[in-house]
Amino acid sequence: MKVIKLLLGGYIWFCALSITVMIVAFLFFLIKNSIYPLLNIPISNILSELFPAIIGSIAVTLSSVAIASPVGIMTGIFINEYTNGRTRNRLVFIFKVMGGIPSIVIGIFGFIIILVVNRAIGYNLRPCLFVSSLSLALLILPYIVHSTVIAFRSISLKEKVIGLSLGVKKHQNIFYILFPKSLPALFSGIILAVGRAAVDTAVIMLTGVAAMAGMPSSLLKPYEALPFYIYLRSSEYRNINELSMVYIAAVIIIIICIGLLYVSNYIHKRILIRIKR
Amino acid sequence: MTVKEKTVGQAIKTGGWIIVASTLMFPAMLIFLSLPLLNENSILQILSGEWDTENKLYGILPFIATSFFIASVSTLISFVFGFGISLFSYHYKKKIFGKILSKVIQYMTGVPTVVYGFAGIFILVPLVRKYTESSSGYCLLTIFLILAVLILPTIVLYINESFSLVNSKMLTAAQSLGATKEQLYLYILIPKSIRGIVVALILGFSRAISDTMIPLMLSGNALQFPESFYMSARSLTAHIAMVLPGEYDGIEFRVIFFIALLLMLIVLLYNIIINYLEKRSEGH
Amino acid sequence: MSNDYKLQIENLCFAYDRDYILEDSDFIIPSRKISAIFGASGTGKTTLLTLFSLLFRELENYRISGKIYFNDSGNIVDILSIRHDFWEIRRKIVYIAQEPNPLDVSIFRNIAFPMKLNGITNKKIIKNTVIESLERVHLYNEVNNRLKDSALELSGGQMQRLCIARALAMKPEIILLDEPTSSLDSENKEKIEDLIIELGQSNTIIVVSHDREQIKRVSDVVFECKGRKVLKID
Repeated sequence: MKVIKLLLGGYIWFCALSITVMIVAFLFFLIKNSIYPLLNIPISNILSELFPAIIGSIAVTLSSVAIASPVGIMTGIFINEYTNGRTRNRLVFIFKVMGGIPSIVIGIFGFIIILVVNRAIGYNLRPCLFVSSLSLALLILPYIVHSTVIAFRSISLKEKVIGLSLGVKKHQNIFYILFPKSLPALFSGIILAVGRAAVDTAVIMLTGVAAMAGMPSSLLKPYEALPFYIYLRSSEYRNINELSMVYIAAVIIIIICIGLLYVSNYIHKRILIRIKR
Repeated sequence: MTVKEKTVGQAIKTGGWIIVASTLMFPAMLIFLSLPLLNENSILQILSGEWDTENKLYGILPFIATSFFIASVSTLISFVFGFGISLFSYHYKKKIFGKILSKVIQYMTGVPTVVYGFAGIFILVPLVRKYTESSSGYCLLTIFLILAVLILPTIVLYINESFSLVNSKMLTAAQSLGATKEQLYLYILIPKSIRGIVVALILGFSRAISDTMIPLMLSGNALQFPESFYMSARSLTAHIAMVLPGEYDGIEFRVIFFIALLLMLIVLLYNIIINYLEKRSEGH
Repeated sequence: MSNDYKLQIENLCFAYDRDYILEDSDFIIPSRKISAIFGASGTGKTTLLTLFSLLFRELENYRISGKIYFNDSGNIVDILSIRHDFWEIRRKIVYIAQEPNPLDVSIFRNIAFPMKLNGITNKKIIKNTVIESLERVHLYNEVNNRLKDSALELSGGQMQRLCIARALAMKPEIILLDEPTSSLDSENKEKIEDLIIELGQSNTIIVVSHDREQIKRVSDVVFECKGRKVLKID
């Protein structure tokens, strides 16, 4: 029995240590290669190089979330409150599957949008900010629907019935009483969706991001984005300055996603505390 | 404001169904756009041939093989380490380092694949170039390793959840009968979580096969059959990313839609399997 | 069918999740009296209230048959035949839950809000109704200086009285009380029982309870839920 204990112990410590070493090594590597440029290159240089990508990312992320949120929330409310058991299960399944679709396939969906508009309506739509926003919205829609369904599902029958037992109409109950109750859970779900939209590369690669587009000037023009910048410059950089930019961009993206994840978790914890009350 | 409940209800239902229909329109379009392929080249040819645009060969077998190859090997590697980490977190869940490890793994889920690709290029590729037979460092081995790290948090978090769902009464009962920790894990915890472990594997595999950036950035994307760890090869997802931005028409193009359809069907399949497995465990 | 009844129940059968809870029950709830429904737990007392208030329509997996005639000021309606807009009945047959469940808003809003949602917008009417309802449950004196404070800060007994006040503001035809004192201490229990007796002089009330003493004190008519049937007791 002692052998088993040793083997098992050795195994789990080996795994834990390996991953720890990997993470530490990565962080060390990242910091080592970005501290020097961060301290020595003037901020204005960094910004002028990365700014278009940062603004482009913000623009496309915000627009996709602006499209997907109301649509997703309404759909989630529809699924949870206005459908019966069997239909509801099927719809939840459909959106679960949509949520698992590889992002490159969603990029193809965006491409299909371009094709359909070109062939059916005749308008010569090209890959641009607008198409990317729509495609990213498609990407994150299932997550928002899922968050909404869960948020509403977690409202107990007793709470649902307070308004109804006083003669409040169904939609009034949903929008004036249940919706405010669901907001924290919804919000944390939306933040996760924001994080997802901000860092996805495959979708924007097929629908409108470009290498050198400058600041996003119009919805119907290509734009730059941070994840694509990292992808492109990782394989094509000409000198150490450009390389430093990639490291800094990577640091920025990591801070953004981990930050968003942290905020989402924080809101989640606050909800759990509230429920215990 | 006497808005009838029925009217609002019908408006919401109509809106809801419109959205669902619009969402389903896209997979439908994929099928529609892939249909011409059935006429010109038989599906069998596409699925089994090699890709060689000059010789009019549009087989995607190399890509399929590459995708499955890298997904399987990464999932395996990831599982070996992930399972150990889950056990570690479970065993040490009261100690501070156990908690920290769990937290760190949880936050790893936030890191996007581009960053993993980036880490791969700048850390791993030079190492692989130096210590193995690969001449450039951009080969399948690199992909296995980085992809394994990418899907690790997915696997760990799911197995953790399965562990936590194991009936604690059973565990305390066994403990009070004098079982050691190892016996607890080997004879109760793990057997009772088998379903969750299988689901974790499937989730990891599907995540690995769906990823685009890591195969794209780290493999060299050569048009050849993946025969060894040190070769360069192209996955289904990387192929889409490379062909699509150029705007052509014709068979080359339509094959892309077919590949997308294939990937979607794989996702559908694994969702059905996971749904089935999770339903079984709920009935427990 | 004298006009002195509020609810006439005929042949009522109700099953939930394939479990029959009520079978072939016939009885009459008189108006302007306090009817008590008594029985051990799980015998369907609360279920009866969810049937009267049409709240059972929010469930799935149920089966119902029979008729419940509601005497709505001379207008007689079988509420089980209603298929939508249940809120119209629920304004008149109000259900008050076992555990106090105020909304997470101020004391004032708790009563004013359902009124607003039901179409009453005149601020003066709202304010007067709020004060009147709070006075009827003897809560106004205790809270008149903190109407804007959160309702969640009230004690259990006060919250329960607030929920009753909230129901009274709807000016209902029937008030359904589900085990109104089970989550309260004995001092508050007595206060609520006195309140019920007082309200019973001008309202039709149906109280569900498993407390024999309480039922003896409070009710004019008693029904027992036994073996899936509802029987009148003298």
